[in-house]
Amino acid sequence: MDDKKKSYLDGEYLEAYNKAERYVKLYSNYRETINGNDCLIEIQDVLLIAQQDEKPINEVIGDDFNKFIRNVYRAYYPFSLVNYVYTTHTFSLFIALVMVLIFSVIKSPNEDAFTYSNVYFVSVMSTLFGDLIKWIVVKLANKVDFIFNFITKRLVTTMLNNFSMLLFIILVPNVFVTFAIETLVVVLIFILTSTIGIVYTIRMNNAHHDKVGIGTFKEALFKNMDNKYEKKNRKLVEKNKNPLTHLGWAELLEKHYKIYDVVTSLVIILYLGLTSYVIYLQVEDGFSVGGVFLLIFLVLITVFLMSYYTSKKTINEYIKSKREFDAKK
Amino acid sequence: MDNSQLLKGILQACIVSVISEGETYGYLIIQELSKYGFDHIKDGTLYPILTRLQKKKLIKSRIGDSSLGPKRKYFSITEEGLEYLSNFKIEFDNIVSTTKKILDKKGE
Repeated sequence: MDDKKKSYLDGEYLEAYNKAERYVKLYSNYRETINGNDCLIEIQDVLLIAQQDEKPINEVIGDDFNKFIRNVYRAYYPFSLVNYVYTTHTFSLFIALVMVLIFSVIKSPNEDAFTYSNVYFVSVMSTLFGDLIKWIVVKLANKVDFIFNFITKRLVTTMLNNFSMLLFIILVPNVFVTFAIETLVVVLIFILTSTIGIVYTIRMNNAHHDKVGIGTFKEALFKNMDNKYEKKNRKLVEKNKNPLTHLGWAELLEKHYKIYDVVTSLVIILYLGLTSYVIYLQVEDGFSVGGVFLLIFLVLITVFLMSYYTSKKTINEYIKSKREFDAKK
Repeated sequence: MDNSQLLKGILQACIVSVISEGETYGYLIIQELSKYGFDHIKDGTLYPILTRLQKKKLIKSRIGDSSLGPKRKYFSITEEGLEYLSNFKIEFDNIVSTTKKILDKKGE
């Protein structure tokens, strides 16, 4: 959240808000597409009203502020095992992709050991190991004030997360195979820089949303769709045609998304087919450079499917709101 | 007796009822419920329930401006929510009257 928003709060209320913000940043996962704004809007609002009414914080949110933050946080980010497995799988594919790309370029004395399953296993385990380390650090951070105050940036926890992963990537394969040190250094630098890149992109995106007054993913999507609606109508007017009503726009979107659903189903079939083919390649031919491109494709498809299903729900809400808009009129 | 499930259902209906009175937001809901003795709601328990109610489409939300400056999340009731509330009132009245009958009989 930017300084302009924070400036509404003062003293103990600002301190409480900062604590909530740290909590959200520590816990939220950069592998998730959501950001902490929805949750923080709610906490900030409660604190602002308390400040305006000059009420002590405990009178408004009870005696246990930590419990309050935890409850609000869990309301917005309920733990979903399916989502966790899905995001872990995608992220692991990304790491596996990087590892495979590098191993395919740099020859190793033990390249027979670089099977897809080995590389994928190492990347999944490294992701889980990174999460475990992060979980322990956050637990400690909440218990010990010094650490909690020290770790105020999401980037720091992310870095800890990444370093744990890298440690795993370096240590585990070395137990089985001796990698050339150059290989490990290149893997390390590549993964580190790319993950920092991802984190910064998310941060820049959130900062941009704050700047233009978009608090949530839903708001951003609604605004984007409204812009498209206006653009569409402008074009229709230019062609001397009647502009679309809200209902007309909703129906047009429904028609479009039905086509997308068919395309997505085909993509899922392709995804399953490719996965089977990669497994087949792995079993038949062992590690091959050609398989790298299939792996790239798998990562792209996984990311596409994930973002499609995340946004589909919100798009349906948008369509419903447009239908209701005309009905209310 | 473990009455947490019963309380959960009642609390949920009370929240829907508060929201049915007009568009409102988190803090006001907490204040309204606290007035009637649901003091424990202050610890943030309200928010997971609001999320659940939204998922069930009993309420809906929007982000709007607040008089205090920054954004605020507003909640309002849906058609499904109104239907749920009216069904709950009937069921609740039935349970209360049946229970009362049994308890009163025992007390005689």
